[in-house]
Amino acid sequence: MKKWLTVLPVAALLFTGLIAHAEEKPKVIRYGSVGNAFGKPYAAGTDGVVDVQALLVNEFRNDGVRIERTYYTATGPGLNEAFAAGLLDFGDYGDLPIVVGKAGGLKTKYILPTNKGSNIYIIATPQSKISSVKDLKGKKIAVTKGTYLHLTLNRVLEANGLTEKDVKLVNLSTSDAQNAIAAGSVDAFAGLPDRPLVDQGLAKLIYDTRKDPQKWRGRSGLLVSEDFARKYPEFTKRVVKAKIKAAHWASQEKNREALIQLALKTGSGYKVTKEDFAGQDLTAKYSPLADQSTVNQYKEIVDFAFSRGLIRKKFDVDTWIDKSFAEAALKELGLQNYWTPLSKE
Amino acid sequence: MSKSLLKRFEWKDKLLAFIVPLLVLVAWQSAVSLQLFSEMILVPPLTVMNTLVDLARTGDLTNNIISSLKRVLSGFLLGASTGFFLGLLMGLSSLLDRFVGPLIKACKQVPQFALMPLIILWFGIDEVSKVVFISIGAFFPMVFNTYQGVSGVPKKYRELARVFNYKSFRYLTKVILPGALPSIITGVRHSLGLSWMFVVGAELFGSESGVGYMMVWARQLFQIDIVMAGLFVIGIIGFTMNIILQIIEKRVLRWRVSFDGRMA
Repeated sequence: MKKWLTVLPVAALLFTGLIAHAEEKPKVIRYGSVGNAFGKPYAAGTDGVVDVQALLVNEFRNDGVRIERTYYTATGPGLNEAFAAGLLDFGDYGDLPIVVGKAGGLKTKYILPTNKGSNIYIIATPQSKISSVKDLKGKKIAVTKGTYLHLTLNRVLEANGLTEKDVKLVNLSTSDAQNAIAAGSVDAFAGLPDRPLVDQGLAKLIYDTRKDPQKWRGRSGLLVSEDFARKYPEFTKRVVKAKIKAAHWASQEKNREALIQLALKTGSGYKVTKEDFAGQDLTAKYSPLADQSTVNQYKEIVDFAFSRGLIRKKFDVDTWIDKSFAEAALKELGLQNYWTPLSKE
Repeated sequence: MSKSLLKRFEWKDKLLAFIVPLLVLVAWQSAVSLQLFSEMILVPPLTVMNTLVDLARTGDLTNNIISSLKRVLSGFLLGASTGFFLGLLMGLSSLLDRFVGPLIKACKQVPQFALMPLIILWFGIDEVSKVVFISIGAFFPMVFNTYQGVSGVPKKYRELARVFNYKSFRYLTKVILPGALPSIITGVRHSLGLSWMFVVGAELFGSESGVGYMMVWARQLFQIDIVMAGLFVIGIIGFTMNIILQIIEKRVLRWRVSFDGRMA
């Protein structure tokens, strides 16, 4: 009898624990991506793979957890606002906006690099004498400021002995910039791979970052709200796991053409997308490792944003980047050694 | 009604006008204090005030206000003057009214923001396109109010002018314009008000200065306090413009007895 009396409270505790554990799951996981600049609500890259292969939905099918996917047409700033309003648990977006959001006080963790190789393309009006980046001195360049395009343009200018002060930047969205180039009211435009104006002879391509070092290119990363990560660490790891599965698929050379086809869903043209992917090392582009190179890159972005007045205060990148979820997921998937960490750059 | 009683009512009106903003301020601060919204998206009133002071101290606010006001003035002058002359001509000529009237009414239905890509294509991305955009906003209230005022001049005045054999200029300045003035001034008020609203829209596109630009850029940089400070500035300037125009209206239309029975 005495034995039962000792076992009962333990059993009760275990039962309560089980209930508590069962309750520790979200009803819904709210996941946001950038509404595509090419006009259709699809994502390219690993978010696209996650959607097409239903990786998130399948991961949580048996848990009864609903996946709520949103594409924010207001791009990075829209995702920052959604995090601030408590409307998002996860968001995958570009390097500069996520830094701007964190510096602005968003309670987020950076848990996974999702793309390390977004190119920019600089086009100019056909009648202009601009044929290289150096010729941009004193010219009017359209760019969507506050995005990775703005940051990468700065890197390209600096590599050619120019700074932002040597040119006149005009803040325009992709579609407005195309109108401005067509009307000849700006001299050049630093934008995305899709360049219908070049195909129509209304602009000429003068530079792109395809042959530049990987570190110059735009990056994106997966953020989780601190609140969600604290309440649901296991679910956070499983979201990361789904994304790593997608990164693994996207990193394989045999899937290159399928990856291009996936990008077309965003409304981008086949020719330019194929050209954009040509020569890109997919394993390096989609490596989910928050290696030293990644950490250094984000430190550089924080410095850049601060020096340009894009953020009012710096923050500690080392504590913001949380590798624990990715490390656990990689281990579960047996992919710890699939990607090579980069220590430099 | 005695004059002193009337004055007391006016004071009551003025006091009432402060109550709603005060209540909004209280509700705003309460929502922040009760943490109904994150402070990042609903910035406390005091923080917005501090941001305003900071922006004013660095000179950013003044420069942006001046840029916006310059655009508003140019766009307003262009749009309102075009609207005034067209409205006048339509009011005087029923033939022109029948030709142009339906087209203008149809154009008014087009959301002006939908025109922006075309405006960029036609006028570029510099000041001209912004002024044109604002002028479109200023044009419509002016054309319709002027037309209404001119066509509403009582027939007996027109006939009297004809009896006295008034020449065109005299007919216009002594009969038509004074008769249409109340409606024209209403047009000016609406036109200027819309110009001020449109400047924010105009500055969304490739601008490097202005209150609208300041707000859009702050949104991109997740500095919501600046966005809210910008809203405050827009409201205050719009309100001030309206007050100034009301004073002018009262002075110009001193002779008119307004609809509520009070002397204007």
